[in-house]
Amino acid sequence: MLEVLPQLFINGLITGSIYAIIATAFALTYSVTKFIDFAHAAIVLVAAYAFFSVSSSQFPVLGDSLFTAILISIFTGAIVAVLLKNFVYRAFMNKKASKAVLFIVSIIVYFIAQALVQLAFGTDTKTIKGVEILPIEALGTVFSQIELGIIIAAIIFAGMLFAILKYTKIGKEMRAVADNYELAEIAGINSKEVFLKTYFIAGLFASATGITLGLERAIEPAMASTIMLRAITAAVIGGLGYIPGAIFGGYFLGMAESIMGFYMPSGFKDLFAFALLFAFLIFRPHGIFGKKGRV
Amino acid sequence: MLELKNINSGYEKLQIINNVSLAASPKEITVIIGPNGSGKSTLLRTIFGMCNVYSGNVVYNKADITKMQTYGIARIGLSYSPQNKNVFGTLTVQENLEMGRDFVEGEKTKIEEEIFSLFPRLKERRFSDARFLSGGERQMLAMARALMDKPEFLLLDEPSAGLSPKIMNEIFRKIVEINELGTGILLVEQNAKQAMEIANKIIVMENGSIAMQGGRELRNEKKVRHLFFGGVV
Amino acid sequence: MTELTSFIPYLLQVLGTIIIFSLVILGMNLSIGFTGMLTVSHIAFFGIGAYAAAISFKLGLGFIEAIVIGTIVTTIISYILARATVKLKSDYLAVASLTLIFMVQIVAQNWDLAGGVFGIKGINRVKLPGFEISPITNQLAYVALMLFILAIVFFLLKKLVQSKFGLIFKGIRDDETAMQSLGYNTEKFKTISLIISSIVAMLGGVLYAHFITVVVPTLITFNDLLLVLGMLVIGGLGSLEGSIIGTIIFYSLPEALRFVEMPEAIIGLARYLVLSVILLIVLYIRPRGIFGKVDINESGQ
Repeated sequence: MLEVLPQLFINGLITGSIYAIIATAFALTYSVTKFIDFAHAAIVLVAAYAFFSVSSSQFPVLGDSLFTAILISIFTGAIVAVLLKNFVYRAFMNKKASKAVLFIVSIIVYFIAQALVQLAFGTDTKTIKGVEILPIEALGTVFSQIELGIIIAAIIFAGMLFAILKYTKIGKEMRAVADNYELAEIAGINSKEVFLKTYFIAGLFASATGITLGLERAIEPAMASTIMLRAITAAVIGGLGYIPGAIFGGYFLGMAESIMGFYMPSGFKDLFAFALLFAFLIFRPHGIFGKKGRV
Repeated sequence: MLELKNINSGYEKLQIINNVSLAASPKEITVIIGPNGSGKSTLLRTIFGMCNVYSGNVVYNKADITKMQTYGIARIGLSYSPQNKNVFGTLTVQENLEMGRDFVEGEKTKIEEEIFSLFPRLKERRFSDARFLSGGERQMLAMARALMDKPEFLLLDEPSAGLSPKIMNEIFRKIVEINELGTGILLVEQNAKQAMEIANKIIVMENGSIAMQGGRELRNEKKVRHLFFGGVV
Repeated sequence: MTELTSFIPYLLQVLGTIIIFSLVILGMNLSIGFTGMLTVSHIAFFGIGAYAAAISFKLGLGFIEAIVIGTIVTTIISYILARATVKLKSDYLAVASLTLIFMVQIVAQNWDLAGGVFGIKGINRVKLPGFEISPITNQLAYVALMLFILAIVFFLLKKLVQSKFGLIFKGIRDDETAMQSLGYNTEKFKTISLIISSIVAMLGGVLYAHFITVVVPTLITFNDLLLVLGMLVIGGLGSLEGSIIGTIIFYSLPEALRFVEMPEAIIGLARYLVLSVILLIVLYIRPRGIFGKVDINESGQ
């Protein structure tokens, strides 16, 4: 029995990395704009399908290199995220829309994205072709080079984000706006610009999620909504809006699912994630790291 | 010169300020006093673009800034320290000071030195998160943050609120010091007595309009003393 | 002549669907429109109602028993949901309610008694004390029954919102802090509002099970959220009549599209996109909807 633990651990690490990235995107925008933005799922879809299109296209330069495909897809997703913020959310925010309305708008945006990809690509499941999977064996576990790449990517992304937040001007401005939107304006920060930049970064993360899902699992129109719920769950576990917490939550969820998945039928894995969210909401809504007064 | 001309403003449809006109000179300490609810805070917020202006103008150095965005106003020589939530709690003292201003490297250190000599206590707490500061230290940080920009005018909203008498005295001394170093002060205060002591110009507000305004001689006016008998004296 | 005889069942079909969704929207309106609580859980309770009816039928129980079982389950779950979230910011209820939708679907998929992925078929008898209706052979009678139930529910809800309870709900929606300072236990009232509205939505599910006679885990999912939100917003928050009229409008428009010649799949998606855009526009321009009395920007925090 114990022999499986290392493999379960690695699997948890891989799944956790995917969750951590999307949870971070969500926590980032939540900390700055303070509303639950479901439309990250739309970005996941856009990037995943862009990745599929580019990597399966006939264009010699584009189609050949996996790296180019990834790069294009990530930036496409990030740009869509910025456009979304600039045209859709800004319009509603200018009308002083409540958080409730923005949440609903974000869900609608997701539905639009889902319908569009369905129209353009159909409902069948797509996979990324031409990617060679190299198995790596270490310490009694087996995983692929892609999966290793995902873990490394998560670490790099997290590291970069922390560096940005702690050391760059835009990072400090994001933290200032997240801390006190009004005071940030009073201090001379153009918060609308900060929102746009935040969405660009979050868009990069969400796109990365779409790509990793495309490589690790499969691409189909419904792929993004459950991952979004995972992201929200992870963020709540770590304390809504607290980025290190979201990363922790992502890995926690990934690990827990990996272990649960071994002992229980696969359907209950999903149920577990949601039951966990519920449990946190009842007993510890501020998450593991949030402050009690914050809710 | 900071001028308000026949300002009528408020929040959404609720009017608070009724036909207020005043002028503040950048060399002076102009003090606005009045009972709770008289609209003092709203006046400062109006100047800083945070209220609905129904009519009238806010003019700064001959430029009409009535319709300007808050963050823009912060960059043209006016700084504002609000009454509550006036520091970024999750940022360090150092980071608070860095906010909202583009600094050239050398310039930044020079300004920091000046600010820290003005507020030595802040230098000790330089790398602490602002939420761990005491009430008095927070007020000082709020003012210091507003001063980093080397503004021509500093708008202060009740900096003494909730502080002990000893710290209050220190704050008022600092305000005088800041003014002596060349910054004009527009001070809104609940603590009328001490505010009037340091004022060059006194404006008394009541129900959203100006009840009276004048120079230091207002301190002895019977009506003014009557207004504040029983208040914070 | 044959066109007319096949038209009437079609009409009854549409009417029945409208009645069913009206119940769900009325429930949502009570929570969202009248009490200002942002929740999408009513879809989940609709599903619970449908499965309660289906499982009851499978076990040989009658219509009334199904309603009772559904009410008990709904009360328990909505109570838990309310208790967990009423003290917190509105975000939490929104997330939890969204989660509930997924949870109900997963439980249905994995529970043998619920028929797993295949669900339960053949719910073709409405067993009432004393007599039975067969929704398939006697569609008219069943639709009449549904209409009757809708009328009662509507009447009761109308009485509720016009009563002191209604005033308190609306007070909470407009300014919860003010209500608290007036001494009202707003958490208790929000819980009551959520439980009642969830039961109403559940009833819609019970009616659905017998109407369509098949219940599957995919019957009501996250994707239907768009339709349901559309009906709610267009009909207007805070207006019971609006909920019914909004449902009628929202449901009959796409039906009218059916007469246009287009492949089924494309129609479905096009309909979806058009609905989404319309909903966005309505939310932007007239958050009040057509009949509603409250701006959605004011409800919820």
